[in-house]
Formats: sequence, structure tokens, C-alpha cells
Amino acid sequence: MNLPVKPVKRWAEWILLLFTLVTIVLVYFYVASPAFRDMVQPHQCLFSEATGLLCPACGGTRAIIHLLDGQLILALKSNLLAVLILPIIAYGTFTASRLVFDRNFGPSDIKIAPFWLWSLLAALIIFWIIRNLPYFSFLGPL
Amino acid sequence: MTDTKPVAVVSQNNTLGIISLVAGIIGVILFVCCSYISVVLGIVALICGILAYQQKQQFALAGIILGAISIVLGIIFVIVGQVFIRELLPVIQREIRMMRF
Repeated sequence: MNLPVKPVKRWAEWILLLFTLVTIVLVYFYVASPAFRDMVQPHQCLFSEATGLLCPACGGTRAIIHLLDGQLILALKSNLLAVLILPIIAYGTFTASRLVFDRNFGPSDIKIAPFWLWSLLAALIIFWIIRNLPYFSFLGPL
Repeated sequence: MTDTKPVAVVSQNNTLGIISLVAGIIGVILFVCCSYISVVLGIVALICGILAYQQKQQFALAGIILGAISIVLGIIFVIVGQVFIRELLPVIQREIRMMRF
């Protein structure tokens, strides 16, 4: 589909650049300095505190911390969904940067089958229910 | 370069609208547990929704509304949530335990 080419928004470029820089600096500080590592505390979950059940993101911070330490198995045990969703986030960031920088790539060129988008929502809800069942307790954080 | 118009009616591409709707739904669901994620998903839903609304895609308005709701709820719970856990929740739980049904 050939839409009239819009001028690239400068502020979008700056936001993307800032996002990338902040991510790189945070990961560098996390790997390099132990003091910064101690500052990262798991966020207290309101849902989990109130009901005693697990929410789909419980253990997400621990999963990312284990990933940064290079322990994939521990990360997968902490939160399966948070690790499996990372490639999707990477693809989303890639598409967003393509939208900003590639002049021949417009919003109408993004094509994903609706089935996969709805199954993402379904996976989240099923994961939420299943990890609270006793038989599937291995999905919960350690 | 010439534009050739397709003969058959091509089904509309609704990807952005559905992305916006799904991100908005997940953001509204998750605001109770992880408000930061909810704010981020709300921004995604809002931007995708506005892009989709300009192209008259399905679900665009729903995505914009859900995104705005999840941004607002997320910001409120980022500010209030930790205080709520520390101060109010023990009181509420104690009251519930004291109740006689």
C-alpha cells in the first residue's frame, strides 16, 4: 500500500534514542556495580499481598535478574511468561524503530494475524489461572 | 510508478487496532499487580490506537479508551499502591478477620 510519505517525527527519534541509551546504561550499571545491584528490589505486588494469590507478573523482576546473571533455568522457573515475552518486546521495539526511521514503512504495513494477538491475551489469562493451581505450582516464583 | 487498484475487495488490515485493544485490556487487567507495566502498556495502546484511528481501523477507539484508563490507573497505583500495602492493607485484613458472619 503506497501512502503519501509523512515526514519523520523528530521527537519520536529522540524518544527512541533516549530509550536505548537508558536501557544500555541501566544494564551496564547493573552488571558492573554491586551497589546498584543491591538497589534493585522486587516490587511488592498489591494483588498478591491482598489475596495471597500470584499475579501473572509475580517473579518477573527475579526472572530478569536471573537472566542478567546468565541463569536461564532459574529465570524460567521464576516467571515463564516474562522470559518468553522478551522476543515479542524485541520485535515490537524493532517495528517501532522501523516506523520512525524507515520512510517506506508506514503504520498500515504492520501485519500480524489477529489470532496471535488474541492468543497472547489468552496465554496471559491461562497462565494467571494455572500458576495458582496446586498441581502447577512449579510455575510460581521460587 | 503506477498504482494498480485490486479488483476484489481486500479485507481491511486491523493489526494496529487489535494491538491497541489487546495492550489496553492487558494494561487494565494488570494495574492491580504491576502498575509500571500497566503504564507502559497504556502508552503502547494509546499510540497504536491513535495510529489505527487515523486509518479508520476496527477497535481503535476502544484501544484509545482502555489505554487512557490503564495509564491513569497505573499512575495512581504507582503512587498509592506501596502506601496502600504498608498502611491500609493490614488494617483491612485485621478488620475482616474480626468480623463475625
